[in-house]
Amino acid sequence: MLTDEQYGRRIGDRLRHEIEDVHASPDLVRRLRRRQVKRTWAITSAIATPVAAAAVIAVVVSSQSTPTQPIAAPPATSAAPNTSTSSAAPQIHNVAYIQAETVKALGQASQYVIYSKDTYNTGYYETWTDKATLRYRNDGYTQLPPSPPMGKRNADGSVSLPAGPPKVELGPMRRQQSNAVKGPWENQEITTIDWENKWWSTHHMSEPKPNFEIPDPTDPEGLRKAVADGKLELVGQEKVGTIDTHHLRLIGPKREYKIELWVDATTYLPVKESAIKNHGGQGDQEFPESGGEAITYAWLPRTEENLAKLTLTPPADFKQIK
Amino acid sequence: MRVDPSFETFVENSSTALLRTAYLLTGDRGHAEDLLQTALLRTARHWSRARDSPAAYARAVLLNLSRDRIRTLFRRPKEAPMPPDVDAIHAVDAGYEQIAERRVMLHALARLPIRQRQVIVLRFYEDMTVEQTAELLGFTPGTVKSHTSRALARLRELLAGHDSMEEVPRAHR
Repeated sequence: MLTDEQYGRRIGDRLRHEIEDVHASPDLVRRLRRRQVKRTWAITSAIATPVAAAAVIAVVVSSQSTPTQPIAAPPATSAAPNTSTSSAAPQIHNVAYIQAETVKALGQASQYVIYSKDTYNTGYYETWTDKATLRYRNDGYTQLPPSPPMGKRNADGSVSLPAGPPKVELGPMRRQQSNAVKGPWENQEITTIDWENKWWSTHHMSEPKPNFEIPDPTDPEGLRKAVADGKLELVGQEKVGTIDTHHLRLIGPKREYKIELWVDATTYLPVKESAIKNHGGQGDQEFPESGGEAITYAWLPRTEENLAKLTLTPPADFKQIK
Repeated sequence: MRVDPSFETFVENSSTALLRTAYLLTGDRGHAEDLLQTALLRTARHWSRARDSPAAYARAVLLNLSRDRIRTLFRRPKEAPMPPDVDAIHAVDAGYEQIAERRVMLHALARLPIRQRQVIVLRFYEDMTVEQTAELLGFTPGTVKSHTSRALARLRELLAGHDSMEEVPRAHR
């Protein structure tokens, strides 16, 4: 019997023989020129895509008050019958199967750049995470004014506070701050840009990884443990935008949180999450729906373009403060 | 697209070798050509960085793209197999059985997981050392060795009984 090295060499020879008459097209350069022109067009038209995507996410988020109800379809496809509670997928899976497939799919999370959008009342966070290189970047957006009015300054220099909570007029959504983080929890390099005050800084952080009260649904180990300790149920099949999903509900081991999780029916990767802590009430008040936070996920290939999202470059006219 | 003359020369000299590598990585001629064009476009876009060693740069892009393609395939329904002669290798004028026989190794290679396939292609088709393969794939040499060992064991299974694959070369008897 051949040794591995001999056998491998023989395979190499056979492969060379089998493809010896595979040749590249002689007009390859011309084809490349043509593809480059198409790509330029694609980039131009792609500028409109984030606007459409934001509209889709906005619609999804507006449905958060009733997360167990079907997700409204994006406007562009509102004519399509995708508001039904059940997916078109004919397969019926049980919760154990979906849980196993989801944990398995999450085991491949480091092969993606994970994009998430965490939406709250007055703004949202966009985050790109590359688990393979332990990097993430987030951009915070807000509608709150830069300096909410806290009181009225009097002639003698004193400040009169308003009787009730200050009225805050929401403005247009704008980017407030960005952070790019590299390294494990115990050894992180952080770059921060403050877009409003036009400064940036870098600093080093070394803290043990905190114990998060609510598990991260993109972490296979965390999710596996949460499922093992808590209670997972399958709510049903639903559409999130145009994606067929399995809707799961995970209750913490001491009912300290509730996570509504929608996983892609094909890839089993999380598409959307709504998490809420226990408010201490009874019945509906235990997990009041309005307190939930909505996060949508997109799993992007680790292309150069997507990895570039993790890079944060301060503008030249911003002041470095540290 | 303005093409640097040195890039054109590179394409003329290296595209066939890169296409063959892409073909081995994907097992599909059409996808291989698509992958090659994408890899060359990326190489062209980063020509200032790639020009010192463009073939190595393009090969690294190919490897990443082939992995991306596998991921994409997992996310959509499986493609229906093409009729056997659609992507027949050019200039083959023998009958289908002869073509099929010629592709025994390609078919076996295509059945390996992508990491094992990459290692086999780099180690034994591209004749790279364990260390070179490890560097290109971002593995440790130990990981390359274990992937190689598993891949060869699987290939022995798949090719069991095929002609003279297991015959010891005369010089080694």
